[in-house]
Amino acid sequence: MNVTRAALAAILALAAAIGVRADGICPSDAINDVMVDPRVREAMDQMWTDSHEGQPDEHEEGAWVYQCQMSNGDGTYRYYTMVQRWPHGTIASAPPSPMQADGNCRLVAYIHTHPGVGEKDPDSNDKFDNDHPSPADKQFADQYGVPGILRYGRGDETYDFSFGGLDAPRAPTWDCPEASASGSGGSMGDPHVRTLDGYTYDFQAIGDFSLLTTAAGDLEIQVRQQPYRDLRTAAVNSALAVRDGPNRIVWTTATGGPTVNGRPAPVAAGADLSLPGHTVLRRSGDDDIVFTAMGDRVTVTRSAEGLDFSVRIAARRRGKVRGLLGNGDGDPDNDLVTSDGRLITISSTDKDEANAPVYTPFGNSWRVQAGQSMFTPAFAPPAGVDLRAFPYPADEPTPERRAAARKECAAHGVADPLALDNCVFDVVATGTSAFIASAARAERVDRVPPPPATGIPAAPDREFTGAVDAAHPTATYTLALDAGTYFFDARGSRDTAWSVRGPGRAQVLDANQAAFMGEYPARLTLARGTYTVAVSPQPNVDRGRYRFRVRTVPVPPARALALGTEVAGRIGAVGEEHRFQLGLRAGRYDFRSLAADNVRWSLTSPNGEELFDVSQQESMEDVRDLAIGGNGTFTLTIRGRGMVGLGAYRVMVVAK
Amino acid sequence: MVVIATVVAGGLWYRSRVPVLARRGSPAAGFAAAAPRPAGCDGLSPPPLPAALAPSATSITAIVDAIDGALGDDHKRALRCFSDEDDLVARAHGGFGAWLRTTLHLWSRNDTTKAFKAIGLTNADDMSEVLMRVYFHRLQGQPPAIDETVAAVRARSAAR
Repeated sequence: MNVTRAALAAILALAAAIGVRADGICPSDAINDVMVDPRVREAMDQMWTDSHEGQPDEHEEGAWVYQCQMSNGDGTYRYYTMVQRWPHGTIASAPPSPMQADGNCRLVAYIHTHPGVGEKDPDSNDKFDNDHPSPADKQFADQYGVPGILRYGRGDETYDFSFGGLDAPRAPTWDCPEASASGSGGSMGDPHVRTLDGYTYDFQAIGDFSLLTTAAGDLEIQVRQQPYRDLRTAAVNSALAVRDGPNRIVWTTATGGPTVNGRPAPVAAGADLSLPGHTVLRRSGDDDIVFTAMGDRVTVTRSAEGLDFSVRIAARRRGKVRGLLGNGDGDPDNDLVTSDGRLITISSTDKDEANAPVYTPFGNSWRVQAGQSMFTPAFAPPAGVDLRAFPYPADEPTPERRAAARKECAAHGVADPLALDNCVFDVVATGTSAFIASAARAERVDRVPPPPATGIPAAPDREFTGAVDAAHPTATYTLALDAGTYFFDARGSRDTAWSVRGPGRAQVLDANQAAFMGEYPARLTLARGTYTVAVSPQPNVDRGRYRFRVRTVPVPPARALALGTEVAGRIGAVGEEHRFQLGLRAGRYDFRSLAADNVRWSLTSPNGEELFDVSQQESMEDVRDLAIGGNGTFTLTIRGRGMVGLGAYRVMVVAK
Repeated sequence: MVVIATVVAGGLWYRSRVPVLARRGSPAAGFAAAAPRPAGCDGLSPPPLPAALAPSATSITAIVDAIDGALGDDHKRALRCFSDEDDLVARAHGGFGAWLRTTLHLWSRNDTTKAFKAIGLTNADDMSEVLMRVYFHRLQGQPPAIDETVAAVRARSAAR
């Protein structure tokens, strides 16, 4: 059934008249989130009233639930939920779709009532089992590709239940603009981890690790990583465990699986296994999928040598989880947080040491404590292997070996820069082609689309992602900025270069910053105006992927620092700097670093000469017996390690 | 008792017929995944179904007779446009099926639902599904296959 534009306008007007919410938060279409949508609950209450439960004319009522997206015209969107009641007396109740005249709506559920439970009389054995969906209800849900929500009960005592259609294809539909950047993560191959917010890192440690835990304790995911075959330089995901409420679902490469609470739980292709507490285990193609009661989704795929998996959390969990997959709050740059709450920031400018903090302290902090593992038996490293030293250093592969691996990966269709890097890494590290299929699958799952247009309106403190290639050689964004200090942050980009031009088309990035997007973050103080960001592949490659965020940087005023006085502070935002004015006379001084965590410092003379800059050193170290040749006001600057670090310091300057 | 007699009779006459739903696995999932509509079915817009239907019928045959008497030609033409009975159940459960449950008061306790309970059908959705399938058989000029249909729906409901 098609709906005319006029009819749609009438529906939208009616929806507005009955209090449709509209806001800028992209809604989750997970059924358990839809169920608690205030608009849906309001409609269900009304439908239950209209069902006249317990009265002679009691009957069922039904409706379609839509989530609609409307453009504000500036690159942002607003969203609302619309409930369309079924008319009585029709033969089919097909949803009026597509609905795109005034908004872009996706069908997310159908709801209906089951009155009549009051007729159930246990004493008379007169059974009217209306408290669960019928096979026809489920078939109906499958037909339209959406879950159903059932309300049943008696009088004011009602219950809601969701069923069916959990993973059915839906069309037409849309995804939240930020969906590709947040909300799903996973691990594949010789483990390459992608956090829920899209931060990627290599993690070849071995042992049992906590991937994700929730504050409420209702969901926990653990992974076991083991050495790949007899190698000491490569690992593989050998087991995965998901605990959702009372259900513990485990896969292992040794036994296949899955098992549920220790018992084999084979699921036929395309079938669902409903578990207590509304957990559903589904077999879909080569994948096992767990749908949790809250609306999370865990997809597990057996590769030739291990397990690949992806995790998508329910919208309501955003920012409320922790573990190796990060916090899921939408910002990939705050994902590496240790179990004791310490944020690890990694700058790609110090590549030699970049990955070390991933293992210590970050990764080691998420080792599952003895007695807390969901795997049996307990993990034991192979004889002669030091758990905490793994992976052992590997010889640098020859350029020829890397080139051959790249050629082999490309021959299997792996083209995305990130997936290709991971694929080459795996082929070189393992000496086999076993993980190429994982890389190809990851490329399909994590593919970043090209930008939808040129001149896309951008804004500070928002993430922008995309891919550029021969067909889409340049992505451009326009950025209106107030006067201030900004941090141009492109960590996570691969094989891309960028330019930022200000009013008058003046280039505001230096050559390194422009040529190697992501490797040399830029802290810039800019005048008010409109700036243009242009992204393209680096000259020697034909494709790249990017993500950038122009961060607003707080600029505390410079403070006076007296000799012999201790001062402490914290760099709390990326790009933030703390500056101190020191009145010095000719002589010798000690610059004492009393405590420093993830920060660096420098000293400049009144004429701008840099007297010391230890930003490239391992830690902020004391500078002893520094000779000052003349009198004047010197500037001591403290910034985060590698420009992006966040941390605390305590310093003092004393005259010798 | 009338219902039981009807079921037995149907079983004797049409035992060889196997209902569609017993031969199929899960219905194909997906938006608008229904089989192609027969020719001449596009653009049909039947009027609303009648507000009332004989509520006191206590046999499937009698109810199907009542349905046939209540529906107009446009309704029947639209129902014939479903590609098969599974298609009808999947797509019209919330339309034609809901109309049956409402007009026959299948959510309540009455003579009709007691008769269904006597043959093992206790859920209003299952009752309407049987009626939809049997009536579709009639529209297609096929034997009603009541007992097979009841048995298949009952088995599927029990297995949920």
